[in-house]
Amino acid sequence: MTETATAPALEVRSVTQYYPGVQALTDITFSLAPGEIVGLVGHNGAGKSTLTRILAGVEKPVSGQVFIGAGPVEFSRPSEALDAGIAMVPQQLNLVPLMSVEDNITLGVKGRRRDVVSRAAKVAETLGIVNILGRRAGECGASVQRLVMIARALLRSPSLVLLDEPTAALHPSEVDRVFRAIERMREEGVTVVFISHRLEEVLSFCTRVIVLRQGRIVADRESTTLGKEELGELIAGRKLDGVYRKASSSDSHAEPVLTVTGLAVPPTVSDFALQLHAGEVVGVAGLVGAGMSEVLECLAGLHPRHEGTVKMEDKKLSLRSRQASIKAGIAYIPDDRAHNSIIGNLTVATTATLVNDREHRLHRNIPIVLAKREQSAVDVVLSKLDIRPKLVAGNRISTLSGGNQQKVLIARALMSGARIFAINEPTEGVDVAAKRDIHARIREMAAAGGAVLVASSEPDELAELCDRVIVMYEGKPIIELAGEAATKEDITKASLIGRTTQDEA
Amino acid sequence: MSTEMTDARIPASAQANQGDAPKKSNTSSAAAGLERRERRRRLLGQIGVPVVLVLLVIVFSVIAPNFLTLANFKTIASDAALPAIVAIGLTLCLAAGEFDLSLNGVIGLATVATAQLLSPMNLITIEAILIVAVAGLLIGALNGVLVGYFGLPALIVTIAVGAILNGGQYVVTNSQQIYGGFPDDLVAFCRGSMGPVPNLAIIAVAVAALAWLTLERSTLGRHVRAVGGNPVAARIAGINTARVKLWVFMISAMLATLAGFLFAGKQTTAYPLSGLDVLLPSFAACFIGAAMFKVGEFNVPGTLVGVAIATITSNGLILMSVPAYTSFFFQGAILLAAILFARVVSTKKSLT
Repeated sequence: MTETATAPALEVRSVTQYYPGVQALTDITFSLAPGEIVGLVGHNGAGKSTLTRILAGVEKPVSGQVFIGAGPVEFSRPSEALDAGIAMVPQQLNLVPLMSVEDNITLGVKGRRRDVVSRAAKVAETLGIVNILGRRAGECGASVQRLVMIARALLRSPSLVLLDEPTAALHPSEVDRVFRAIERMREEGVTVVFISHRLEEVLSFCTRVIVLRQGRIVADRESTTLGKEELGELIAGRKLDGVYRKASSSDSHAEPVLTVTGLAVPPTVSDFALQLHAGEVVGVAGLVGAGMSEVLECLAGLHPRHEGTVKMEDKKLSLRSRQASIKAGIAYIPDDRAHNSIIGNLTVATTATLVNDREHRLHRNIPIVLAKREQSAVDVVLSKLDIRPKLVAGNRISTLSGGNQQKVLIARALMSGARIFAINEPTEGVDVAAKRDIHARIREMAAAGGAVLVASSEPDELAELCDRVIVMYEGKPIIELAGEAATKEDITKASLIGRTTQDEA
Repeated sequence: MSTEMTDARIPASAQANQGDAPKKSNTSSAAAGLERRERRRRLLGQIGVPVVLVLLVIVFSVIAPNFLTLANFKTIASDAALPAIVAIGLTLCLAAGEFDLSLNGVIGLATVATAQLLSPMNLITIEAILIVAVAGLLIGALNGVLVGYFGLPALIVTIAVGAILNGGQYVVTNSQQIYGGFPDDLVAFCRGSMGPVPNLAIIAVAVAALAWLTLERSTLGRHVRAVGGNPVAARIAGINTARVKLWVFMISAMLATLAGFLFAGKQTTAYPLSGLDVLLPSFAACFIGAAMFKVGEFNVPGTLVGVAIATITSNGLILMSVPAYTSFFFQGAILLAAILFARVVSTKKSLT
């Protein structure tokens, strides 16, 4: 590129960052030219978020420097980064739905109202949203809302814009609009860092791609020299030798406990099929948003409006509510513990027996629960699950660590007498020791005759835990990997590129 | 929540300040201080409210004539009984995370309907009880269905239903005032007492005991607290959250109806909008209660203490011959003080 002769827009020199017990970034060095679009890719935990947080002034690196123009800069808060010309567009849509698009763009910008508004109009024009400035943000589609967020960033006249997964929640047809906006930004000399899991978009759109793996830059290449296949390998961290064994659907001699056919949860999931046998742990892999959660939630009865059939042995199930799903014998442990599972004001014992208290009542038909009976029953199960400290059943659930909270939820699933266990992101936000523990408990569930379905966006978790893994891509199952074939690298690669080497051949 | 945050922060800052010993100890002592403050806040909640109650009694004993007499305490118990019954119903509603602002309307309708049925229409007591109870149940069910099953905001639904019920009182009574003609035994019961304890207070205590058992020990109460604590998690856990809301609105309306019925028997007169006005004091009592016993959670014993504080305050002021309209100021002020206090002692960000 010709611009390389001029001074870089941004330069990062040997940036290193530690968290307790983790080296998040090691010796990161790169530079960005003005008006360049650079893709930043890497798997979950590779260090993308840490790097963007440092650039956006959310956190400070332990060592290393960031240069803008000629001099080094150091940010201690996001507003300083913004003043220095670095704007970040977060992944989550964060508009005020009831306010107009214009008010959303100008939100929090100081200066004379008339000037701000006219600048906002100009920015909106470059992004092609000038004719909807008066509309409420909540009435706009996802792609327009994304453009509004970009407009909000551009209003600060940044020289560098960090776009975190701008297309993750968008339908492919909407992606184009966002890209045209980015292209327009580039023409005006703004440098764009594009963070994405969608490799095709990165390759077709960025001039250069920086690949992070385990906190290091493993590649910094012109995108024209890269193929999707090779990029997938760089991210996954393994040279593939072309043997990509498609596993046969496992032990066909046993009758499946659960048979799912043609499952669809519009618009996220389509054509999902599954046979689940007693005694096995099956994983559902994929990128965040590839539809794994929806599949499990569907089995849990939380998507009443799904299509397709779910049969338990020979009986067709009607999963129209969580209650119906529980009755059918399906236990569900959701993802995002803080929002979806933990009710902070309840005790551990009450959490474990919340919808299944019959055993602990004064009398089966008198709905008064005896705290002592309930606590001792829960303590028995918890001690089997190896919760330390012991005898916590009377404490509030919110006082427990994340790992122990998760074990209490496992206890709830076990005490419900379910035969099928659907577990969504089982070790999200728990420490390493608890993670090992939870994996052991899940294996025990299966060993005791349960059929376990685990969804996770962490390939190594599934590789370690599961008998076989179904990989989903954009809402469809694309491959099933069994036993030895279900390696971390293969799961990662299939999740990223949505097909296998064999298919290509 | 804040203790968790502190725990998480210590190792992080210790890591960043490696070899920087004084800073490190600073952080941990700051964390310990935070925890101390936290404990002190909880303690303030646990003992603060009872202390206020005791102080009120002491102050009024000194400055209000005839406050510290058996007769006056009977009056207080009798005056507190009906507001307590209403506030207990509201406690269950709030525990499930919902509001019931239709209470005044429900009480008023129950009062005038009771009077109309017993006096001009000359029904016997048990018939009146049945009809009024069914009406109360239906009103509660209406609130519950609209909020639980249709997902409408309780705030608006219950204000609207309350307004309709206020209008209904004119229809029921034909805009007439009703006085006298109540069955003697009903009046005798509502005004009488067993030994030194007013009958109404006995009913209130019985209601409180049942409500406590329901909220703290029963399956429904566990579900109520779960829905109030985290409705999303409660639904995913398999609780029928709509049904739980239906239940709490029915209980709330039933208890308001009971209070309205007993109020009619006690007053022996009724006319439109003549019911008990206990909406604000009930909310105040519940929020005072949420600041004690189980800090941050609405609970029945706490609500009773809250009702006692409100009733004793108004009783003392009346004894001191303070003009009646000042009760408005005190009602509002007590409610504000209660939610402010609950906020200060609660570790949670918000109660509702």
